[in-house]
This record gives sequence, structure tokens and C-alpha cells, in this order.
Amino acid sequence: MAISKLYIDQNVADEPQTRLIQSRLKIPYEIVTGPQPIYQHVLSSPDPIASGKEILLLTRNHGAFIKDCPGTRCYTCCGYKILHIGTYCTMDCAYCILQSYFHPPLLQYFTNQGDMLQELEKLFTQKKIYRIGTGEFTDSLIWESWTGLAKDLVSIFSRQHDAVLELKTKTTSIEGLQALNHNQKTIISWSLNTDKIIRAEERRTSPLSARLQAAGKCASWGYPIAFHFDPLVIYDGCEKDYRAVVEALFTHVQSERIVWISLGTLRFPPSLKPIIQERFPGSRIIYGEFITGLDGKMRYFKPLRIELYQKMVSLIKEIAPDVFIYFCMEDDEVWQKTLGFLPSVHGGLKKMLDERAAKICGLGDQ
Amino acid sequence: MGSKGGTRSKSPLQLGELLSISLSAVETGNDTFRITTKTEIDDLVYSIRQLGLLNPPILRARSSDYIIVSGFRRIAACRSLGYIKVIAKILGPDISDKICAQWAIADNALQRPLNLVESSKCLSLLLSVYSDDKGLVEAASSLGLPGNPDALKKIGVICRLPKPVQAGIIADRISLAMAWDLSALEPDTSSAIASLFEDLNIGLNKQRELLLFLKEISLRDNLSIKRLLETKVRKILEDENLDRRQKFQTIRSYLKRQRFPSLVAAEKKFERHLKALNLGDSMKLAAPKDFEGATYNLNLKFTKRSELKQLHQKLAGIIQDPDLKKILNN
Repeated sequence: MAISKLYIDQNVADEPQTRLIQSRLKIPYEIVTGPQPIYQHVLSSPDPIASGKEILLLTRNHGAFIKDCPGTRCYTCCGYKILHIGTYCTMDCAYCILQSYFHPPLLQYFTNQGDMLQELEKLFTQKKIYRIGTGEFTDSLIWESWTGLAKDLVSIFSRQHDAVLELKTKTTSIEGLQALNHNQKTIISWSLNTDKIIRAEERRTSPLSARLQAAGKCASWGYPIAFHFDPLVIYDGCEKDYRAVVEALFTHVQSERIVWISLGTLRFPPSLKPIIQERFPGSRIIYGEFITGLDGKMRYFKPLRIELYQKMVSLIKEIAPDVFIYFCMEDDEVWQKTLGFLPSVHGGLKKMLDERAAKICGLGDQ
Repeated sequence: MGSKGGTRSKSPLQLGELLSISLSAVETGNDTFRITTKTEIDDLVYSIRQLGLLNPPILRARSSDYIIVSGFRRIAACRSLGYIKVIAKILGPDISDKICAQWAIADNALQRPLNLVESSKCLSLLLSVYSDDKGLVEAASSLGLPGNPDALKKIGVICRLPKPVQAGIIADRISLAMAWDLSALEPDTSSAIASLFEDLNIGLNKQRELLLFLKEISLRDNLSIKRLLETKVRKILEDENLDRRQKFQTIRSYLKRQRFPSLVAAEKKFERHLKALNLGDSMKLAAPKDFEGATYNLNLKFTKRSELKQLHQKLAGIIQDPDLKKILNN
């Protein structure tokens, strides 16, 4: 979806990033003193969730740029850090939690990047291993054609040795990443799904084949690569379709280049259900066997999750026995019954992932 | 005007002027302004026979006859009593639809409580004569109808619902909230569901539970709700060995099994093992909700130390029981 209107918070009007984006977007813009009139405009439209994807607000991040990933204590969290560069997304996935997360949902990009750099520098001085990603509140690479932010971040992370950046995407906007001295401190990762789910539920995202080709290119440029099968969706024939995805994945990227593969079945807050029904009337993904999880989100009945996870793990291990697999927000029973161990035995999931990042990305090496 | 059966002078009509009107000049099939959902007239026939027609009906004059604005049952009762003429309040042919609608609504709404279908008919009448929301809301409020735009929207659809649904609303079996949910369905589907609710005589929460199962199974399996109701559900409803409560329970279980086959199978398996453990009345073992968590809950009931001791011994046996192991291993 093309951005049709640009709003600029007067507080960031003179930021270099603001002027750069303004010049690249070449669309009508308006200087505003605050976001309220924009929120009102979005909320008064017939489909605020779609409307918020057509308007971009360049503004200041008034809070922290580096945040903890909002996991819950009921399920095993990976101890991820979020680099909060902006909010929302131009793509339109039926299951996207951002539809109900922001009130209202609105594309915002934070241009006070001097503050972001300061926070990053402070983090780097701690000399502790951190895994930091920009793809939680937005897609990491949708901003590339206007901002070049990923390129800058790759460069910033390449100059330190303790943290690794993860750029998570469903796009193929990787051109700016070529020929950068990344020093393996940036992981490029793709969210993967079956062709059927991508076509039906992930509007305006890149097709599977394009994502895998882009991953193959990034691997050839020396970047560590990761994949996220999240959300895994249960439907008739899904196992055959996921097998095809796994097989295709390894034809594009050698397993040695893969830092990790995460698995997570579809889950959503109850408030998202009516939104999906309204905005994606043809979608059937919410009519699976969902129960209310311990964190209040709707999740597949656990034996069904375990069954699909077992098959996915088996498919992946069949081709790449040594690849690192983990679950996003699952409990001990799931870990034990699918991977045969509990993260706590290895010091916890955070430690396992930190060690994996250290090994593949050379963290801690001076 | 005399030619269409009215007795009056040639001067222009006063608004609501009382005239003696020939009943043969009153058109019977025009329900434009009908609000009442009641069709029985026995009570009115009795009253008019005893006391006469106390409140004149309201008629609108047309070029050669009259249509009823308010008093449909009174006119029908007078006809049934063999009246030739009645005294009626007459609205002249030059009186607008808006004024006629207001008279019809006021004559009903300000004299007796309206049911939801009647309120909906009032709103529908107002909608047909008011093009602006503000005027509509003001008119509704002044006539004793809900003035809240959201309520107006929801009540407004009721008079367009199929007759079986309206009958359920009038009989208080179907609430406004459920009527609104049913308004999103095809007429034959909402009629079938209204009929199901009538057969089961269930309250709103149970209605919602069944409707949710039906809608989601229908969407998931690409099967119409009507078709779902015509198969197994129909058989349960027709089972003469079940009372209403049992029919509801059986239909609910059936639909839950269709909607959540794996979960229901797990629940049944748990129940089987639980039964085999033979815990008795003093022990209760509860599985984690939907088997999502890992914590089982055991509740012991006792009043004396000796009872607790007995339970302790029994518990030692249960801990070794293979059925408990099967429960805990799922």
C-alpha cells in the first residue's frame, strides 16, 4: 500500500532523517504540532487499520529506543531486546497483532536517531551479549527505500563485538545490504509460511520463493541468516505444505549459515478475532481448535501444537540435523515432547540463544 | 368527502377532526402505519360491546377512501360487531406522511409499553419520513422511543427480521442483543435458529454459545447453518425420550464435539481415567483448564483426623494407579 500523506512532527522537522525521508518520498506533507488530529483522521475512516497504513508520521520517540520483548512468565521467553525504530507496517497480514496493539494503528517513524545511537552506545559498553531486533513493532525492512536505516544499523553493529542485530522481514528489500562490512553482527531473518497462507493471509508481502531467493543472496553476502516459522497454521494438508517450505529453504540457504529457526503456532489476543472477521472475511485461520492460553491469548489446543511441532522438527532435522531450533513462547511440556529437553537444562533459552549468536556471529571476539 | 362515506361540512378539515365514517370506506389491506403486533381482537370486541368505542381510531383521508393510521384492531373489532359507521379522527389528504407517522407512533407509544418489534416499526416509520439523523433522533426521543443512535440502529433492523424471529422477540425468548446477531444471517437461517431457541427455551448465554458453535463450524467447514441444523440437531430435537434440558445438553455436546474434536476427545479420555481411579465423594481431581497448564488440582474433603487418615491411605494407592499415570502423561 502506497503512503499517500506524510505528517511531520514540528519537533523533528529539522532532523537530518526527516529531511532525507521527505525528499525521498516526494508526497504532500504537513507539519503538525501533535499526533491527535492524525489519530482522529485515522479513527474516523471506515477502516482505520487500513487507513493507518497510508499515512506516515515522522516523529520523536518519547520513550526508550531499546525495550525488552514483551514475553509472559507463563511461557518460555527468549530474552530478546527490541530496537524501537517505528510502529506498524505497510503489509497487511490477517493475523498481525499490530492491528489491535496500537490505538490507533499508524505508521510512525522515529527520526530522533541521535538518541537511538546514544542508547545503543550505552548498551555496547556493557560488554554483555544482546540480541536486538527491529522487527517486533514493525517489519525491519519496509522502511529501506525511504530511510536506509538498516544499512546504517548494520554498520553501527559491525563496529562492536557483544551484540547482534536481527532484521526480521517478509520483504525482499535487501539491495542496500549488499557490499556492507557487516562483520557478521547482523542476522537477516525471514518469516516463512506456506504459499497457501501467504496468498490468503499475508497481503502485500513477498511470495515465499522471493523471500528464499533474498535469503540466499544475503547468505552469499556473508550474513548470518535466520528463519521464523511463525505463525504455523494448522489446516488440512498443512504438513505437506510445510514440508515443501522446509525443503525449499535448504535449497536456497546452506544450514551452516543459519543461526536459528524458530517455531511458533498461531496465537492471538481475543480482541483480534473480530478484527480478522471484519477485515478478512474469507479467512478461516481463527476457526481452528483454539483454547485460552495461560497468557490470555488464543492458542491451538496443546496436543495439536505438539503434533505439528514434532513434524516440523523432524522435517528440519531430516535435512539439517545440527540446525538450532527453538520455540517462541512455549512451555516445558512442548519443549520436552518435541525437542527432548528443557531449556533450563542448558541454562535457559536466553543463554542458549546468546551462545548460538556468539558462535555464529563471533560475539565476544575482540 | 361525503362520497367516500364521511359525514361533515364542506369546510376544510381540522387536524384530527372527529367524523362519522362508513367502515366500508376504510381500506383493510394498507399496513403502512401499523405498529401493533397484536392481531387478536376478542378483548376489544368485548369492551366495545359493553362500553362502546371509547377512543376513536385515526384515519387518513384519500381521494375516495380512508387508510388506517392508528386503531387497526379497533376497526377490525367494530367490523366484527357489525358496525356500519364509526367516529374517527381524520387527517386530511393534504397532511404529510411525517405528521401521519407521528400520530400513529404517539397514539401507540404514549399510551402503552411497546414491545421491541413495535418499537422497531415506529423507528422504521420515522426513518421513512426523516432524511437527517438529528431530526430522526429528536423525533424518536419526543415520541418516547430510544434516542441513542446505536440503539436506534439495532432496534431499527428488528421489523425487517423474519416472522419467526419477531415472534421470538415478542415472546421474550430472543433479546435485542441476540436479534442483532441474527440480523446478520440469511432470513431462512435466522428463522431456523429462532425455531431452535423456541424448541429449547434457553436464555441468552446458552443461545449465544450454540450460535457461536453453529457459525464457526459453518464457516470452517463451508457448510450452511441450516444444513447443520437439519442433520443431527434435528434428530435430537425430535427425540421424545429427552426433555428440553437434556436436548440442550445433547445438542451443546454434539456441537462442541464438532467444533473442538481434539479437546473433547481429551476431556472424555480424562473422564474415563478419572472414573477408573474411583476417587469417591471425598476426593476431587481437576485437570488444568483445557489441559494447557501443567498443574492438576486435588481437593480432599474431611471433617475428622480419622477421615483424613483414610484419605491418606487411599491417596497412596491412587499415586500408584496406572490411570493416574495416564492422566498425568496425557
